[in-house]
Amino acid sequence: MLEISGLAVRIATPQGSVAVVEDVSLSLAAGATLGIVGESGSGKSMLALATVGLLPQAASATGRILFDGQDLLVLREAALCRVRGARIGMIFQEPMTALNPAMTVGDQIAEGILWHRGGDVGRRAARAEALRLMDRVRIPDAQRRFAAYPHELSGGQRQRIAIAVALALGPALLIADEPTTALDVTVQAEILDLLDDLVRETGMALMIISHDLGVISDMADRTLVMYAGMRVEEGETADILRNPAHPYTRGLLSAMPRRGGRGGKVVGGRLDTIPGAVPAAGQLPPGCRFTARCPFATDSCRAGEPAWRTPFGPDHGVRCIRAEELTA
Amino acid sequence: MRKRARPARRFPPTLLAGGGLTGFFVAVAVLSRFWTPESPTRVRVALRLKPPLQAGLLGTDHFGRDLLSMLMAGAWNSLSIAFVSVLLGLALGIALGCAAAALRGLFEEAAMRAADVVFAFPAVISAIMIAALLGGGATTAILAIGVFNIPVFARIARGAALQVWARDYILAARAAGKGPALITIQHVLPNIAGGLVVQGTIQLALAVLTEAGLSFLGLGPAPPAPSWGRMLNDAQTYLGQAPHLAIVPGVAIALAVLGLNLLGDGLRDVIDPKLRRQRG
Repeated sequence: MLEISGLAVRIATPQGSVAVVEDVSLSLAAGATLGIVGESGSGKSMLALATVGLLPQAASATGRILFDGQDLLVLREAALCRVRGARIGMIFQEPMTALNPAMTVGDQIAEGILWHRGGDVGRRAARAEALRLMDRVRIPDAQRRFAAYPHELSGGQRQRIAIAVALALGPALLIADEPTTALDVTVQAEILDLLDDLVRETGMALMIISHDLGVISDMADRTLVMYAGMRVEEGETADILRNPAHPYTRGLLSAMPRRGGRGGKVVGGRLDTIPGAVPAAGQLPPGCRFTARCPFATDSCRAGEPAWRTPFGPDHGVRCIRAEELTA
Repeated sequence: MRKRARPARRFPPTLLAGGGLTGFFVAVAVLSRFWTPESPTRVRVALRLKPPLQAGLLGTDHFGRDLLSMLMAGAWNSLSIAFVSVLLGLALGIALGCAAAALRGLFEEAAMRAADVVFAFPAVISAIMIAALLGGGATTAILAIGVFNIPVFARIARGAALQVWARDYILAARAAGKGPALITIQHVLPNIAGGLVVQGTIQLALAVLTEAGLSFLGLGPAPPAPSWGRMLNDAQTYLGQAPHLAIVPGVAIALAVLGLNLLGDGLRDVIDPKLRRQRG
């Protein structure tokens, strides 16, 4: 249903244009969940914005984004507007700012329905539908919350409203950009459960973006690991968690608190970290982008940019020349 | 739920004083359309230059016209011209500012530089230019003050709208497939309205002052329609003999401007969330 190939996003800067996303390809089927993971600055959000055609003005995308057989990158703005909202919904990281503070939450859900369906539904029908959606995203006492303003709701409830807004038109694809990062852990679990149930009930596809491999491993059928604007590993989530082939994926995994020991306690002493930070676009090291932080880097890693390979079967791709030795 | 969540808020004294004063002038202006003690244009040579209380409450001018009646009718002229011209500037300014914020790029640059050019001319200068083209009168005053107000509101609207455009809920609205026009109406305007209302009130005060200045120069409503500015002008000649002729309209102008300014300050205290947070 969603088929991205060779996507690159370049941003024009006074020093010339730099690529913030390069050579990203992925595919997502209806009812499936794809997790995109990486640190801040790895290009995850740019990938999401490029998919719906909402890149900042200075950025431009090349490649191909096929959605239901239509290339979104060549679509005109008016046609793109009809796809957004109606066919693709999106939720954002910060539920505090993702809702209009000057409009009641019920109306924010209803007006999306009114806008896209136009004359087919009246205001009253749209409101009834909005109320139904509020129930569906498990807002307690939806009837009463309908006329509340965003500042009167908690962060978790606001995120539920944002999900209801995105769901209003029954999109075929939902893009969730760090949907739980700003929420506390218990609320995070509720929101993830909700998203999971919605995917199962509606059969929509979900693209969930997170810096937290824990969130991704709970939610996603497939996982795409991004580093410095490039995909470095992609495959079945279970496969990636069990046999991480890229040193960066390994680093992310060992930086994740693990529940194991008795009583679900966190085992092991201090968590591992990946030293250093993601290099800024335009200041990339020669060769493999991860060399500066990679414990396994060799001279041949710095010699040239590694290609995307599938040494472990067609379903598991990696961008590392030493993948086989490291997993052996 | 909503009622309880919001703490009971006492209205600031500036708002009450400004609202009261402004309300009084508006009431007097409206009343003058139906009733004044005398006809404000009736000339009574026998009663010329009477001090207050000797003929009518506030005395008479050099034509024996009743000063209170002239003041009341003048209030209507002053306030209506100020109101219509600010409304004109508000509507066009907001349209321009919001369009600039929504479209960005070349349009924004052109609109804002044009605003700078208009802004460079004081209202009185542009009024003289417009009067040279159209002749004097109320329309000239409205156009001159209105045109002067466009860049004021365009700048404020653009600045506030740009802030709103950077918010996530705008991104969410765009992700929902809405175009810039709809986003401006649904999401931008309601969120910048507060500041614009405050500025509108303050611009009204400025407009009353400018209108008085224009009619003082003879660019306001044509005689015999009474106006505060021309009353002041007429009073110059008789300043020694009948100082009340200058004092009465002068005080009226000062109070009307004071009332509108207090109202603007009070509204700002109530509406501006940043100030509200500071006050705890």
